[in-house]
Amino acid sequence: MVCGGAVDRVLLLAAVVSVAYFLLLSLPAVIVFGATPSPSFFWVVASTAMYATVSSLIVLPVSFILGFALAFRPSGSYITPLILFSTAIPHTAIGVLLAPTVFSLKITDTGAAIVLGMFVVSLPIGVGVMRASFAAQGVELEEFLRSMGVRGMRLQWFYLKASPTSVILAALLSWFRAFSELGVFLIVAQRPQTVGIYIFEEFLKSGPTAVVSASLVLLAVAIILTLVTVVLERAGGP
Amino acid sequence: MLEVRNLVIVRGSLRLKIELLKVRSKTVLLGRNGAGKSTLLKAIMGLIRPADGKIIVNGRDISDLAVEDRPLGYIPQRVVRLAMSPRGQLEYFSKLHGTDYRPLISKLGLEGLLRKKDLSVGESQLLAIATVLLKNPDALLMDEPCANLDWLNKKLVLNLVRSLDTPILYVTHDPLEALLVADEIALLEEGRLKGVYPNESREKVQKDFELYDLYERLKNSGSGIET
Repeated sequence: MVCGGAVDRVLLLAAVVSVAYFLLLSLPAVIVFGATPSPSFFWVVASTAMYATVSSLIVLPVSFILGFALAFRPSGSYITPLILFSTAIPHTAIGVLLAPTVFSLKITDTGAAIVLGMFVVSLPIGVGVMRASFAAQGVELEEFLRSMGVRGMRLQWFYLKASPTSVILAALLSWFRAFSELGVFLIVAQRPQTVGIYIFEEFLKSGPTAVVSASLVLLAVAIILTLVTVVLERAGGP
Repeated sequence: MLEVRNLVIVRGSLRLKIELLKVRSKTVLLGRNGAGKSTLLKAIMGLIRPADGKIIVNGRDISDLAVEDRPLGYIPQRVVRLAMSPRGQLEYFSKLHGTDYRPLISKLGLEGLLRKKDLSVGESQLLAIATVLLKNPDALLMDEPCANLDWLNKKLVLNLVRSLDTPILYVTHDPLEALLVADEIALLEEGRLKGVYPNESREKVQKDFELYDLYERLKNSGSGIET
């Protein structure tokens, strides 16, 4: 929060807006429905976080390779919208499209199906962040390095070294996208329970009071991650 | 010597045909924006595939070699800054090409760069040129290396370019820069080389260039500037 001896005004503003946003969304729900924390929810959060972490560990290297290709290969500008397209359709539809694969692999309602679903929905986020970061660094870097005899993955290593914040940003955003998925799991993996499924089922079973505290936890996680990305961007930019 | 023979490049609406271009010492490729100067340089480096033609370096046809294998050095238009310390960068590329950066840096008078962590744009360009020389290229391709540099940095880069022994194909749209660098000037217009002309005014222009070096003159003048 301190930049050059003075408080970083942008970070301070981001923190104030975050708290205000949190209160604006949470207070009406708490006042109207009340908030009763459920111990079982925290187990669901922990297991969902674990699956999201596994998914992000797979998403990151794939995003890195695809992001590089899409940033600098002539066909990249045509293929990028196709990859990002899956973020624009209802995720229940993605679940339906994934169903044949999940059913044929006999992984319905397993951790593997959850990781697969998370991978599919969070890959566009990772690819988008990495592609933007590579493109911002310019094709000249690649041309220079190739002319200097640098080949293959070493080229990407130079880009990676130049943009560590974008790697962290891609990891954070794809992790949270995976963590908060619901639509795909409604179709292919309702068990083990993930946070989206938990809130959906508890709401249907016991009404809004049962899930207000769970929703507030998710909102708090989202706001904390948003603040982390702001700090990262202020530190060096992707 | 670098030779370009019957090179044809087609990129969108741009069509370039270079029947013959020989680079023996310092040849400046002069042309207006959009004339295809950078495109020609990229094609010689192998970054763009030409429709036809040959690139010959010291009698050897390198047209089919990959970019990474061409015995050429390339300085792109935008200053390249790697996420490494200057010393780390020189050590990395020395190792890659089996050379020693220390004699080169000493010869170029760039020892000061090794002590720095953050370089200015001009210093980064000097470092990029030194890095390229670690490859011992048979010819250098420089795409407006002074674009975006201030006067003092431009002077540093131009002096370094002049001091090099390697044949250089140097792209610029700036006639003054062309006259300062070139032994020969090749004029690119309407997709063709209009001609290659010897630069007979380099020394005179160099003197004028120093005359216009306001930074030095203001520092040394007691009162007022005479032109």
